[in-house]
Amino acid sequence: MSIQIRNISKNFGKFAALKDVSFDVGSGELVALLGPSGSGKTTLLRVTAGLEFAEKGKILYGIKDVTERSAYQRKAGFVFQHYALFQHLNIFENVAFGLRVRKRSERPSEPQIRARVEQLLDTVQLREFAKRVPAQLSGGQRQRIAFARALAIEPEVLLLDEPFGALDAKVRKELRHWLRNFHDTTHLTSVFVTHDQEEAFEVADRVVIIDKGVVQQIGTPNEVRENPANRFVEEFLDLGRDSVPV
Amino acid sequence: MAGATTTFRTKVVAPRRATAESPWIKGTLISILLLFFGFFLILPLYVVFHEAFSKGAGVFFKTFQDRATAHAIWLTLLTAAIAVPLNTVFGVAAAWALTRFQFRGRSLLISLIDLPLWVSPVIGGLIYVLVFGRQGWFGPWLFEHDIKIIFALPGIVLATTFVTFPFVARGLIPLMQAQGHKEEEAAMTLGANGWQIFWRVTVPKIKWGLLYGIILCNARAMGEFGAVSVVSGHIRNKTNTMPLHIEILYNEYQFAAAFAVASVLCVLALVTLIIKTYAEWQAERQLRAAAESVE
Amino acid sequence: MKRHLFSLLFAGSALAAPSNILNVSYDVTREFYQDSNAVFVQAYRAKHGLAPTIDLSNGGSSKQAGAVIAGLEADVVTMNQETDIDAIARAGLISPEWEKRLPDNSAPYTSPIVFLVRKGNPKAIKDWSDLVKPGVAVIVPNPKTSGNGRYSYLAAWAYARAQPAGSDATATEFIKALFKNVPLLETGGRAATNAFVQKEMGDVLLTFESEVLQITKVFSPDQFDVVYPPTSILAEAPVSVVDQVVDQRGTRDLATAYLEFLWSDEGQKLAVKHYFRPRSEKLLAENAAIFPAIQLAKVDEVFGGWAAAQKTHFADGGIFDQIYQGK
Repeated sequence: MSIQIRNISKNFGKFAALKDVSFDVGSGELVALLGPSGSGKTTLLRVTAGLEFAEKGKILYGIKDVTERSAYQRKAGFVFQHYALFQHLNIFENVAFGLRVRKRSERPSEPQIRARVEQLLDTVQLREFAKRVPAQLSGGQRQRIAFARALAIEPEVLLLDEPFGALDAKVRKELRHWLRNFHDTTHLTSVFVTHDQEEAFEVADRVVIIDKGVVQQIGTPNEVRENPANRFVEEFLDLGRDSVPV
Repeated sequence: MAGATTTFRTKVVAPRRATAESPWIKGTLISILLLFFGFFLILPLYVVFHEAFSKGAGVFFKTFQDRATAHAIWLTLLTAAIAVPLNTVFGVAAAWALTRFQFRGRSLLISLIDLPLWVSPVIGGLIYVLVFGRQGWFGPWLFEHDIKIIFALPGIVLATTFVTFPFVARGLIPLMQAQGHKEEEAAMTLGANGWQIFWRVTVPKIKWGLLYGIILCNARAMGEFGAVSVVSGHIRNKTNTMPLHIEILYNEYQFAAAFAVASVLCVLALVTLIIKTYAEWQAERQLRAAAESVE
Repeated sequence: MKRHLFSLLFAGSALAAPSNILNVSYDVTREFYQDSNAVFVQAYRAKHGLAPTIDLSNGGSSKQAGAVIAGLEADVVTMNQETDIDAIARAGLISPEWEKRLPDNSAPYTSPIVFLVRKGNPKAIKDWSDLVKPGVAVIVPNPKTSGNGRYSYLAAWAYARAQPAGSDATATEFIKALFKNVPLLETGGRAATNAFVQKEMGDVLLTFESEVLQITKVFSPDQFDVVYPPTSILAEAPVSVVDQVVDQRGTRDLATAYLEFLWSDEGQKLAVKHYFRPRSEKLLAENAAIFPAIQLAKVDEVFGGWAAAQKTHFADGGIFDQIYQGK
């Protein structure tokens, strides 16, 4: 399932967060939205998810125009920076949530839900934590559960908002590798937002560099490094291999 | 300064937390608290029960056999049973709208929710007389159709609802603002519709704030005097709630009886307090159980 | 059908049938009407075979009149002065000829304003002039909300006016001095009584004779003394049906019978039992021990009628407002 973002413009009051942004995400691609704080990358992701609506432009999933649809109609899995797990539910129920809220006609039976959840927990290697609550898990574990939860609904696209931003360096690296491997196996069309260029270059097939609501450059990590499109991209990437300070 | 060396004279002192107050202040504050508590809470409670039984237990129980008294208790419970759910629904809806949506005048509305707390309760009753009374806006139409609002149950419910409506909303708004809506957004991305988000995600989060607001609302609804007094009409056996009936008994020199009914109100208040405490205790238990369970 | 269902839901009583009436009364008549209602119901049942139910509401007289005007569905009003019933008449709910419909200006009983003092009368209060002495605290209900309070005010005024060299100016001064001695104003007669008796405020309570005699019935005479000033004011307690309500509800006959009962022998005896001065000359003479003779001024004579008194003294900006502003 490809994603096509066409001429998206979004304002918050007088502030123009996104100005005529367009690009495509090919089916099965893993794309990073890279940029400094305030660049609009998170806003763009949320518009893509249906958590915000743009004033102008279109979003297409494949050939479906989903611009008018709200998030709960879009079937886009979303992973939040601070996990947003349901604190009052245990891990099993967190992951099962998306299945339980389906319309009666589409809802799987209890054994089916159980099977699916257990399978997902295995994928993230947290099966034994099923009865615990989020408060009892470490940051990294919570994020893996957040993944599992998003994947439970069999999404057509996966959107991740600075998924490792709240984790310490070591865990971040681990999960980065894990994400890349996961993507290589499933080929689920994914877009993730980050301000960490090392992360973007390591994980993504292609990067979209954004600043001040405008796309600066799109390309594979190599392309961008070898042929920076403008001054901003140069400076942004030339600030060493460390993360750009927010 | 970097590089300078300093010698510290070490003196061994009993370690004290940097933020601890002196024992004097602590003692004084606690004493004031206890004094206040004793004077304004314990003493009146004691007096109520003491006076209620001053003529003996027989008179105490006989009070409740009186038709007018029994009706007053019934009317109070009925009024609360209508006003509290109404305000719960309203409070939750208002809190939801005010914390989830951005719109012009939002801050003003949040302040306006508190309006019934600023105005004298008498005003709360008067507004309904002015709107629904014979001389009021809807008066002529109501009388033509023989519909009684004020000086009857609907008026009492309206006045009670008015004076108690901030409680649920006020309990929830800061709570929901502080909690944010990330979990609700997550639920949305997982395919839950509005209703499902509300019941499965929001309500469990606000449960205790909601309960607390309901408890306060109920307490005020049962004890309201001023607003109800204006719209009641004071008809014995028809439109007297407990607080009004207590005034009647007092005015009829039946002091023991007045205090007896007052003691019922006190008991109702204590019961609500116990329910609230039990509920909180249960919640804590649940949380601890979940935290301790290992698989 | 739907309309009746609606009425059922919103009406106070289960059936708005003509066997139930509401008596909206003033503050201190609670005991009297509870008693008299019971007797009336029995008498009515004996005569008509149907036992009606009587609802009763008590409160400060003007507050009650206001409620009736605002829609409190009273079949009869039993007040302690004409002005309150006149106000309801002006609002279109009672015929302007109401006073003539029943004997004695529609007032079945009267009660003058007298004094209640602490046992032994430590402050030696004998007459109205003693009320303005320094150091005397007077308890009286608020003339703005209570007929009881108004009568007290007018009695004091009448007294001052009747003094040698008395004039409106000296009367105003007298009233001013009187209210300076009033520590607080309660809304109704009962509240004032409670302030004096229960809370032990004040040295003297001004209220109806009926109330004073009630107090010495409930509380032993060892605690209080009754003082009859040489002069006081005649306080008639008029009653009336509320025409608009009885016609709409079809209760005119019952309501009229209810009021007429107050003039019957039974009704007058009940009045005496509750220390109201009956209209029946015979009963009054028989009970001269309870009701000592006292010179009574009439509102019509001294003030030119209630309407005039209301306008001059108690209306907004009237004399009471002027002298009481200081507090």
